[in-house]
Amino acid sequence: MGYDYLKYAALMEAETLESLMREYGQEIWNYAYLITRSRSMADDIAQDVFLKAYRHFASFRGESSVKTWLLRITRNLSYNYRNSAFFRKALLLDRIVPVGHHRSAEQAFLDEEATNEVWRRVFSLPAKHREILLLHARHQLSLSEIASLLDIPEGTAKSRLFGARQKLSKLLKEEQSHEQLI
Amino acid sequence: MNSLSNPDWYDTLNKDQPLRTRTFTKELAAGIYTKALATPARGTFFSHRRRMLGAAMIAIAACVIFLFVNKTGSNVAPASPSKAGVVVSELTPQIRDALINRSGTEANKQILLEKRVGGNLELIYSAPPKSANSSSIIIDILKWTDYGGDRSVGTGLDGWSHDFGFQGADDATVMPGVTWGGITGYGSLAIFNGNISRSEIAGIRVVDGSGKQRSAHIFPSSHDFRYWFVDMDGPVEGYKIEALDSNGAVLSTYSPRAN
Repeated sequence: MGYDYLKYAALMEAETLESLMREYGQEIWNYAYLITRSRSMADDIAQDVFLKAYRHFASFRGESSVKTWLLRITRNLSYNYRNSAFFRKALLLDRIVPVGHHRSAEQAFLDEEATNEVWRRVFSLPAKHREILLLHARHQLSLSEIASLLDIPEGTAKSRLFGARQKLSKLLKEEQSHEQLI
Repeated sequence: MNSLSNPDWYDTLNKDQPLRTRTFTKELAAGIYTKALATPARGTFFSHRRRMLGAAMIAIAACVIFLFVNKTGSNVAPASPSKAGVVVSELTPQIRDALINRSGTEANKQILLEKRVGGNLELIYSAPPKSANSSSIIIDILKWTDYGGDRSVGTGLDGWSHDFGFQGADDATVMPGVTWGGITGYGSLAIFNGNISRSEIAGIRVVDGSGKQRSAHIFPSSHDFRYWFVDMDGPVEGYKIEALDSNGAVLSTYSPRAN
């Protein structure tokens, strides 16, 4: 569905909101989850993204696609959530004395739910590498679009993408040779 | 689009969603829709027009929620229970073991007791794996969060694990043959714990100021004492701890306020 007409709209119609959620809801959730690696945060962020988009539609100036605009909101909110979660975690850990190391619920969830080994490995990369791979490989955004979204120079986006690909290729190769040994 | 040549695994990322299950559920979408329409979008409508629009939007929202609920689609997660409601999903042994045990080859904890507390907490008493050669008792608390289906229990931020071991008798003895290690809290949950070293003590009971009573879970240890634990949900004030014989008669009482 095309959303070009939204460039000229002052308000978002309820039907448009529904349509945007249907079309991009899962992608928005995925992006939030990819950054935060927390399902509860991804739920909250996805909600906030669409509420923000609906209530502050005037901030969409049509310079980018609606999808890129939503991804930008998602990214900003995700990093805000992620940063605040660190504080919550620190507070919680300060109050209790955990014993041993658990496989977190999110790790267990990923082990079960990742569509394939490549995605599972993507989730094990640092956030900035996870993010750039999602934007480039999954969303097929150009390097200039990614640079604009991440608010970094295009050259930086390119080298970050290069680094992320190298890292993932290495991980996948290591796994392949490990499997061959077994 | 891209001046770098794509590695062979690139297509996999492009073709497949990261996760198998649809996590942006119809319930989540319906909730967002309702919230969005509850507060009008910023604009320049006059108030009477906004009221009319609001009524129309609420009607549309009701229709959309109805449609969302009745529409079936592929790749849609099972309906999740309300966040406000009590999560009723069962914690399967596979998921439980994955969450409370260390990953790798280490043997699993030996589950002694599992119980649901306060609707959304799963309290798991266990002994360490036999190979650990430890006599402590571990309590894991898993907090249920509504993610839908059977994967709605989480650790990480929501998880908690604590080891309880033998208490030195000198400071912790509060009654003959009974030690008390204090109260360990998790939210509104209070866990009393201690050791029993006399065989004539068959039970421990905590009675709070309101008359609420809870009997202890008693677990053996490999040494000459037993563990007792009392978990109480909600505020606990003015409590006393009682040691009971096998007939339920009170052998001795300890009240922190009186001591």
